[in-house]
Amino acid sequence: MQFQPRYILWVSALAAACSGSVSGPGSGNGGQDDGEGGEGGGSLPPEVAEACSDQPNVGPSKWRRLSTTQYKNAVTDLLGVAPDTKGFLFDSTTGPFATNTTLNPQDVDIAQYASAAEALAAKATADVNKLIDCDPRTQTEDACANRFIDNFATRAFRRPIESTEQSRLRELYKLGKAQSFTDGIRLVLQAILQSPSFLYLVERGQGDGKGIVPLTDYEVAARLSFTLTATLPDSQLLAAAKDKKLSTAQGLRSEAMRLMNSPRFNEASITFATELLGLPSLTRSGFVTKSGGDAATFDDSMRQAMLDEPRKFVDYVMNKGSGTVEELFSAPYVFPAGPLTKIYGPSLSPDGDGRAVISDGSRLGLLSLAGVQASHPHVPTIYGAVVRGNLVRRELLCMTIPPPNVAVKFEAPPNASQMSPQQLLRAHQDNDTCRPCHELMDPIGFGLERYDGVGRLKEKNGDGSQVDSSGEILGLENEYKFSDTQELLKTLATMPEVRRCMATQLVRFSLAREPDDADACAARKLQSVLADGKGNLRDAILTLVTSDAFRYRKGE
Amino acid sequence: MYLNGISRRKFVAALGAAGAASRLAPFLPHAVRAEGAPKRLLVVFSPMGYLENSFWPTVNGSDFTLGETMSVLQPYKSKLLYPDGLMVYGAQWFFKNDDNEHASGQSMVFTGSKKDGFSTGPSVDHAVADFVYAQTKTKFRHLALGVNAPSPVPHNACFFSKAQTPVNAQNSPASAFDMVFKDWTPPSAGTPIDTTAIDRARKQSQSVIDFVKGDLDRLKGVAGKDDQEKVAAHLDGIRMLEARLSQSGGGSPGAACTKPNAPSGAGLSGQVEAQMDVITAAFACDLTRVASLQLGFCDGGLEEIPGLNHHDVTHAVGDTKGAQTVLDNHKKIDRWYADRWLHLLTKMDSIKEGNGTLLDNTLILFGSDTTTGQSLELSPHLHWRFPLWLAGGSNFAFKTGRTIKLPQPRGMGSPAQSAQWVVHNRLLTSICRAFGMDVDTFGTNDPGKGPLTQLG
Repeated sequence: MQFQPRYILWVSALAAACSGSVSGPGSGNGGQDDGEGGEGGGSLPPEVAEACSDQPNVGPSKWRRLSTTQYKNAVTDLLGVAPDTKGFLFDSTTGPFATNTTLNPQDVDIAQYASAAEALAAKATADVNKLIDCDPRTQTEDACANRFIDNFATRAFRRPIESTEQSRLRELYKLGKAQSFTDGIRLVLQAILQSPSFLYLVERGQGDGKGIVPLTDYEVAARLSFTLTATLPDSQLLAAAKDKKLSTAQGLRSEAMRLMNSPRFNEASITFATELLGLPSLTRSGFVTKSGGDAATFDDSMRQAMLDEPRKFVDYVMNKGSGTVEELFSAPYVFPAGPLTKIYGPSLSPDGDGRAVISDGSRLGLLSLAGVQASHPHVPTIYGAVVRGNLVRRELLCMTIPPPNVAVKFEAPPNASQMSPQQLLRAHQDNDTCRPCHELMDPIGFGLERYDGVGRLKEKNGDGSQVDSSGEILGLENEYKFSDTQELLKTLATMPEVRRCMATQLVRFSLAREPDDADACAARKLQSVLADGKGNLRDAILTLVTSDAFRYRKGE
Repeated sequence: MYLNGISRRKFVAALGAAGAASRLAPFLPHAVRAEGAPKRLLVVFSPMGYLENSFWPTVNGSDFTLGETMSVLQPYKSKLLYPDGLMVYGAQWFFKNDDNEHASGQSMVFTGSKKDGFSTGPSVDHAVADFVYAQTKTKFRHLALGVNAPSPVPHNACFFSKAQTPVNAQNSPASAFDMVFKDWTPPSAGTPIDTTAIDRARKQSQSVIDFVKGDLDRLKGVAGKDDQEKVAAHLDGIRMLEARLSQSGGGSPGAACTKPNAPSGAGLSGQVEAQMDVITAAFACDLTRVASLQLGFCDGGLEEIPGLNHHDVTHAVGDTKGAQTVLDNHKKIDRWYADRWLHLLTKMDSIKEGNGTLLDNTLILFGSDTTTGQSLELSPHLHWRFPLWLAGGSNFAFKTGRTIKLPQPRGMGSPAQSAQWVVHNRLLTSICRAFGMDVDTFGTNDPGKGPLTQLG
């Protein structure tokens, strides 16, 4: 069938002007993947089928460099030693996610890898026999070293070592061994930790790598493990790749399900949810700052508590809760440990999981957690509603508001000095040049005005007026009005537009690319799964990792 | 980290701690420079410019009075140079850029090139760094530091190593210091005794580098076009490591070269000043000739004065039609920057080089993404009378202690009107020339060509 390049048109961006609506198909059931590529036809609902051709549906991808989180996890898994990454530069992003795919490495990145590798190799070889798990007194040193090289490189490169690599690593070992056995192993470690085969998800696909080709089993294993566990494949996954189980739909599905039910899945789901709402900004020294009385409240222990809470929250939603979009965005509980009692109030009594249910509807879901609100805006501003509304518009509705240009002039009303910030912002809506963009942000942000600059509940504005948290979500196929914070949060948790956006975000996160027209087939399947019921995230991810977009590669 | 490519820790381990320093001597820069200081360039970005009337000096020529918010710079007045009346041409909304004034200004201020994504050309610091490094092979080609400089996306980047290649700044002063100085020892007069262990360590490091290079070379053969660029960029980084390993240091440190203390500055101002100190010390020891410092990004990133949101304040200037309290707030923020600039100038000027100071041998270009206008229009985020100004470098670049009034036509609402202003590419071209580059123009935005002739 002829492929219609519609995906970008209706889901990903409101590009140049703040007008028009974003609309899309309704719900449906995901189609079955036969594992042979080409997902069109069959029993797909029409809105999915129209995006799927009978050729493998996959957009072009670039090699990913491990994100700092992935690098840390991978090194820790390999060596049992955590790297010092404080000098690493920021990862480049795909949407809100640190995918490290969009920008090329620069000199400093390479120098950081070199110095980290040097420090790690020195630390890890402090007890070299333990590291290599071989006693050079019972076997020869060279036999131990050769075995170590094969095993370690296979784990680090996520594939069997090639013979040229093997001989070159053995040469390195010999050069070091001229000094000492430890030196030999140390050099091998340094080299492997700086090798592009470790630092990148190198993907060629099967055959000559030209055109659209299936990924190799080992390439699928790496994508799968970094996506679902934020680290290297474990031994079972490598074994599945070796047995070519991952090129069958069934084998891939069963490994994906195993990983999603393992504790390591937490790392990936937490990374997804926290990066989605910009929480890593709390880790950037001096970036999120508060003034006045809030400055004292907002100390390092508070920042840390605000980072820890969403981890517990996501862990709970995914493992003890329903694991759905709806619960992620409307769960009526918080984890008020340590300094967070200052934010949530002293009266909450946590249960055995550290969880406290808030029954008055003032906290519902990830968006309402203290850390998310405290980091948006990151510095105090009277226009916080714009920032929060923009966050929702961008990350939960997947729409981009273009920044204003100088042609936009806001003439403040004559009585501006008597108006509260919110009244001033509401006045923006009466101004023809401001409205097209601001109506997409501010009225959503008003719904979050119940939270102050550090995420506490507030009843009154700075000027003593009552907080008005009514607003609306405009610019969509459907329009949504809400009378308060609780209604806004509940609406977001069930809106089809948010479900669709979550599909896009999962694609960005998992494939480290903006979904293009050819990825629309996978994206729409995901949307279809997420539109169903409460939007089960594991089901959606399973659909994604078994899609053509995940399993194939489009070469140039 | 690397001491001319070889880890100092590794040396010490190989040699035993005692006597290590003197044995390291052959790998340190050969000689302390006798005379003829290097020419350096520092480019500094700070967000949203300044409130116009209180920033610009009054009176043309050398007998000028500093703007009220910059008055703390009075001790260095003779080392400042203000080209008053430049236009960042091409950044205005009517050019229909793919982004707004903030981002266009931020992208164009140091590149003078069309944006079209990140930027279609390198920023001037990188053009100069490429040119200078080819001759000097200092330890670092360029040093890119920042405070709250974000992960680059098209909306927030201002430094580019080449077209569409934004530079990610090192935001941590401690890591910046480690990268440049942790394993580095200032030049000493020690005489080498035994270089065997050193040679061995170097050989080991080289062999690791060779392994990585070999891997990258093989990958180049199988990568698609985009990935090839990635591999090539990685190879460039590896070659830089290799250069540090094989050279004896490249640069020639001045007599005032000393290893600085690790930074301890607290708070935002402390972080900014610590980064300035790292750059100054790196210049003094000739570890690099070019550096950039990115403070925040086009519409934010810094909370300079607690309780005053910089971006809100600039907007409030227009919204309130210049209410005095708002103007005062803007001035407070501008003065905060002036205090940081004072720290930088003081630091650089305190280092003697020949008959002058390090500041006389360092050209500093200050720039921003936009500025807050008062004379033509009371509005934030404008690009005319753009606060691009200079300090230092008088030993090789331009005569300082002047303000140069450039023509300031009364309109700027169309491309034709904007073209009546002096386009800031001229200044960027002059800077390239000051470093010996034989160029007629810099960047793609200049409707004409040539240097800023008014600099003399």
